[in-house]
Amino acid sequence: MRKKVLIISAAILVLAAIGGGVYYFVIRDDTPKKATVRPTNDVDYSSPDEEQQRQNAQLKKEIIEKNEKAHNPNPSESSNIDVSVIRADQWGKGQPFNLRVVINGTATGECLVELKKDGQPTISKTFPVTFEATSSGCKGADIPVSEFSVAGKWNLTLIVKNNTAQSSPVTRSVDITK
Amino acid sequence: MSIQSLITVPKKLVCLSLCALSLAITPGLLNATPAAALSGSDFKAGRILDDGVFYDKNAMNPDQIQQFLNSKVPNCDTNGTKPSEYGGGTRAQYGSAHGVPPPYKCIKDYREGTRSAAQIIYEAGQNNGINPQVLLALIQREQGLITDDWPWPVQYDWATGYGCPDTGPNHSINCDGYQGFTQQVDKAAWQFKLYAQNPNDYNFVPHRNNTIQWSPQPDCGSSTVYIENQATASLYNYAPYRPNQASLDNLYGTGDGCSAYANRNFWRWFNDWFGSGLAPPFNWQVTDLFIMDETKSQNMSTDRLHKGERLFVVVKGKNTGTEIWYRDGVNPARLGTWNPPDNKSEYCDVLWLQLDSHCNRAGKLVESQVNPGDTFHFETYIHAPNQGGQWRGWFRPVLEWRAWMTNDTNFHIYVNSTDYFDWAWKYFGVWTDSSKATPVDLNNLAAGQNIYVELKVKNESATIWKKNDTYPARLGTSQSQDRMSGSCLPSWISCNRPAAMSEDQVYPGQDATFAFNMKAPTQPGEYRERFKPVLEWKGWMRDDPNHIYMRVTH
Repeated sequence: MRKKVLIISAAILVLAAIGGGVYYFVIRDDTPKKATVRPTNDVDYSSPDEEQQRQNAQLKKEIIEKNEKAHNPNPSESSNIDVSVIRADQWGKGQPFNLRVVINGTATGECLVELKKDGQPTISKTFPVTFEATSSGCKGADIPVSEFSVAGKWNLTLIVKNNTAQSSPVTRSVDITK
Repeated sequence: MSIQSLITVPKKLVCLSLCALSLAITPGLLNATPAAALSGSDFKAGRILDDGVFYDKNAMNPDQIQQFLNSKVPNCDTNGTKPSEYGGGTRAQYGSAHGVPPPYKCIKDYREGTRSAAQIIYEAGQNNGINPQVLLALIQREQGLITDDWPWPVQYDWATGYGCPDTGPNHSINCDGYQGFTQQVDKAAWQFKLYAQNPNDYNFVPHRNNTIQWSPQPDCGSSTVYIENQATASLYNYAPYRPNQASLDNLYGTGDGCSAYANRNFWRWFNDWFGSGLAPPFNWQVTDLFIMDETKSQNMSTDRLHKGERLFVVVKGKNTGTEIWYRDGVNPARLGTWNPPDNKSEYCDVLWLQLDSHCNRAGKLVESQVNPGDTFHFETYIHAPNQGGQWRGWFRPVLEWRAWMTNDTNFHIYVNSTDYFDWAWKYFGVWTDSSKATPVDLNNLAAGQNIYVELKVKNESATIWKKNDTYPARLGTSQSQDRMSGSCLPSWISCNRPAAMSEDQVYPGQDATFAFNMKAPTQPGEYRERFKPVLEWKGWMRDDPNHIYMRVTH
C-alpha cells in the first residue's frame, strides 16, 4: 500500500516538473505586453470603476478651480502678451501671404505687421486680435501678393498689443513667390 | 515507526507533489496582467484621429448616445447627499458654500428646451458632419461632464470650452460669449466643420509640417509636426498645443511644467471610450444611392420594374479609410459584386467592366483620386433581372489586385422584377371627330356611333417609349389582354391595337398620347372598353382599373 502511494506521489512530482518545464519554456510568452488599442467604434458602455471615480473627482476639482478663475465677473487679462508664429507663407505660388499665429495673454487688441525688403516699399498692415475656440489669433491676416513689389525674401515683424500690454516683436524671414 | 508515522510520510509526499503540481499549472494565473490600458506611446502627434473617424457623423444614434451617458453616471447625486471629496461636509454643503446648491442635474438627465443632451450632441454632429463621439470626448476633456455625478451649471455653460482662450493671468482661461450647453456643442461642431471647409484660414493645415507649441508657456518652445489629416489639424486648431513626453509618460496623471493636456486628454478619453481613432486602411461609407431611368431624366423606384429594364445608378460615399483610391493605375478602385465577393451579378449591363467573363465589376471610380475623408462616386447601369421576382445585389468597392473594403455596410440594391412596365392612366376626352369641336356624352350614345378618343397616360417605367422603334409603343386591348375589340374600326392597326403613340418618344415621367376613333356597340346597354399601352414585342404595361364607360341608349 505504502509503496503504491510512494509511486503515485513520485509520478505526480515528475508530472509537475514536466508541466512546469513545458510552461516555462514553451507556453510562457516573454514578449513585452503591448498596450492594446481597441478597434474603431468599439463603444465602452461600462460604468466607471473605483479608480476611475477617484480620477473623476480629481478632474472635477481641477474644473471647479479652472471655472472659478475663468468666469470671474471681471476677468483680468495677462500683463504679458506672447505671440507664436505658426506659419507665415503662401498656400501656393501667387497666392496671398498668410500669417497665422497663436496669441497668449489677450483676446483683444491688434496685430501690427510690417514686411520690409531693402530698396522696396515697406508693407504695413493692422489686423484685429480675435478668438475662435480656445485661442486667440490675428483675424484675416492675409496680404495679397500684388502688394509685394517683388518676389523673394522679406523680413516680417509682428507686434501684438492691447490697451495695457504689448508683445515683444517677433521677426522672421519669409519667402514670397509671385 | 508507528502506523501513524508510516502513513504520515506519504501524506507529506502527496501534499508536496500536489503543491508542486498546482504551482506548475498556475504560474499563468499568478503572472496574469490586468487588461492592457492605453499607453502614451500609442499617441501620434501628427495623427490623433483619422478623418474617417472624426467625420463619421453616424457613429452613434441618439439612443446609443443616451445609453452611453447613462452608463457613465449610473447614479446621479442629484441632492448632493454624498460626502464631498473636497471637504466641507456633504456635496450639497460644499456646493452651497461655493454658491452652487443642489439640485445637481447629470448630463444623462439634462435637457434644454425639448431636447436631451444626447439629442443636442447628435444633432450638432449631424448638422456639421462631426462624429458625436468627438463631441463627447471634447465635453469630457473641457468640463468632465460625462462622468460627473453632481455637475454644476457652469460646466454646462462652457461645456466645450468654446470662447475660452488662455488670456488670463499666468495663461489661465477667460470665457466670453457662446454660453449655454446647446450653443457650446453647436459652436464646437460648427467650428470643426469650418476648419475642414477653409483649412487655409486657420493655423494648422494637413499634409505638411506645422510648428506646434508645447504649452501656452512661451518658454517651453515648440516642435515641428507633420500633420497627416484634417481631423488632427482641426484638433490643434481648437487647442493649439502638443502633449509633451512627460504628459504622455504619465497618461492618466500630470506631466511637467511644459505639459498641455487638451489634446492628450481628448485622445485618451476617445480611445478609452470609443476605441481607436485611427481608421482601418480600407474603409468606406455609403452616403447616397441615386437610381434613375436609363436616360437619367428622373429618379426611379426599383420595387416595380419590368424585367430587363435598364437603370442608371450612382453610388455616392466617403473614403473613410486611410488609403488613397485611384481611378486608374495598378490598383484601380472599382465597384465589385459582394456577398459572395466577385459573384456573377444578375444586374449585369453591357457597360460593366469585364463583362465577357465575370459580370462582377459594375463600374469604376468617377474621380481620378479620392483621398481619405473625400467623397467618391461610382456610376453604372444595372438591369432588372430577366427572371421575375425580388432581387438583392450586394456591392462593395475594391482596390483591384490589392484589397476589398473591409467594413460591412450591407450595401445592396433591391429590385423587384415583374412581367409588366409601370404606367399611369391620366385622363381621356371623347369628341365626335378629331377636330375636337364637339364633345360626346358617353352616357347617351347612339348604337354604332363613331367617336374620337384621346387618352393621356404617364410613362412610369424606366424605359423611353418610342413611336417608331424595334419595340414601338402602342395602345393595346386589355382585360383580357390582347383581345379583339368590338369597337374596332379600319383605322386601327389591328383589332387589338387601337393606335400608335402620337409622340415620337416619351421619356420616363412624361405623358404619352394615344388618339383613335372607335365605334360604339350596336345594341343599347352599358359597356366598358379597357386599354393599356404595350411596347410591342418587348412587354406589356400592367393592368389598370380605369376604362372607357359607354352607355348606348338609342
